[in-house]
Amino acid sequence: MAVGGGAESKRMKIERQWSSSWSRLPEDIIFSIMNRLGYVGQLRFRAVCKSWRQANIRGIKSADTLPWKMAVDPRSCCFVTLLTIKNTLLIQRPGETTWIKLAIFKFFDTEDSSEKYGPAHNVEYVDGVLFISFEQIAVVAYNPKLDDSKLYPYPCNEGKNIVYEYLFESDGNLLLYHDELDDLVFRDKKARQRYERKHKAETKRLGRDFVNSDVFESTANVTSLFSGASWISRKFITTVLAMYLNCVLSRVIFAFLK
Amino acid sequence: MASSSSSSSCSSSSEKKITLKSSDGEALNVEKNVALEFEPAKGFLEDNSEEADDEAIVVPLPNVSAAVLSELIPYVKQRLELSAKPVQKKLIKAFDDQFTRHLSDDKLGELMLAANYLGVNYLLDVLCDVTADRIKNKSVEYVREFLGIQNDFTPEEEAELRAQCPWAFEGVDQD
Repeated sequence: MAVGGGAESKRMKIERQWSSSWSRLPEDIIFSIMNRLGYVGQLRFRAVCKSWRQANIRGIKSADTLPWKMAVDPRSCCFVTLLTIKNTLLIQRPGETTWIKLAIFKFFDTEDSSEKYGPAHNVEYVDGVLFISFEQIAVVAYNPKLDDSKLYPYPCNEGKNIVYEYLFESDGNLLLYHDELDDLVFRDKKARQRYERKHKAETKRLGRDFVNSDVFESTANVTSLFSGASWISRKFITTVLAMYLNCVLSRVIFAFLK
Repeated sequence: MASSSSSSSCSSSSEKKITLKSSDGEALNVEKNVALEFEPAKGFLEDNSEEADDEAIVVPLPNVSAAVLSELIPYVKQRLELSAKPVQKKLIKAFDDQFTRHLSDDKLGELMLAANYLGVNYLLDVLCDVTADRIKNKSVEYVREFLGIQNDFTPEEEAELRAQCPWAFEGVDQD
């Protein structure tokens, strides 16, 4: 703790700001508290009173960066983000600066089901349909235009309590990643062949082994279900695809974005 | 850490008492190493170092009440003892938890201002943690009532700032 001119002036500053009221907390304390709140908490915090709103928040960080998942619709350039804590979908249109609420997944809001499904882990936006992967049980496909959603239960989950981590769209397939699935389960012979072909191709393309993920559903299948009137019975797991286990998330994302 | 170096350098003088004078005029005797944890007191003692007898020094702390000081002093004292030893962080955390668990919100605010004024940063960190913990997931109205904060927005201003992100104000914990 340095004592001298700097400390002296700091002390003077604090004395001037001194008040026993919460609304007149010195700015550096407001800053410290806000740093400990999540993004949404900070929005509410700054709505409490003027001095809290006017506090200089340059350089502030929020305690929760992870629950934000972002997807982009390349055609309309809309950003879609998922606030995973509240299972709320937000959309930002081109040229706008505010996020508009698109949907809340109400059917996950009951205490029982939110425990069952766990938090939402990721969101992908493909051809007008949003795919949201939850920690447990299922992926939800949501069509904002029709305000309609469908559940896609996870494959090979029986008795294993697998936590599915990441959802990606690649070549029209949704890839679902997880850390613990060791055995590959194939629905049929064809699926195994497809997997082996894909595995070979992807390994070659990526220049490394491609293991441990599921191809969850062809996105073409899903989007056609939404555009057409009929929702045909479930034909979920087209194949099981594997992906390299120890890949860091960011590296994986970059590989696919490229 | 500053506290460990100051406590070791003051080990011989730790029995020496310093008098702190609170905002409400009460005089409190504290060990010198505890007083040195408070920045204004430290500065005051350095400015008056020619004074031979520490006992005679009275350090005015015009921004801290006796009630707050008498909570702070035992905390700082114990915290100094803890951090002088090579203890695990867990123990310090347990000690901090115990200290903050039963604090009322008024007390929390007062202590926070006092810790800020006195430059006791480790306490300030803990108190900010507790505050953030108490108000997160709470509605704006709840926070106002809870902490006794006047809503100084006009209805128009408030409606406007809520319209910017209405979803942020939904789904908060029940008050």
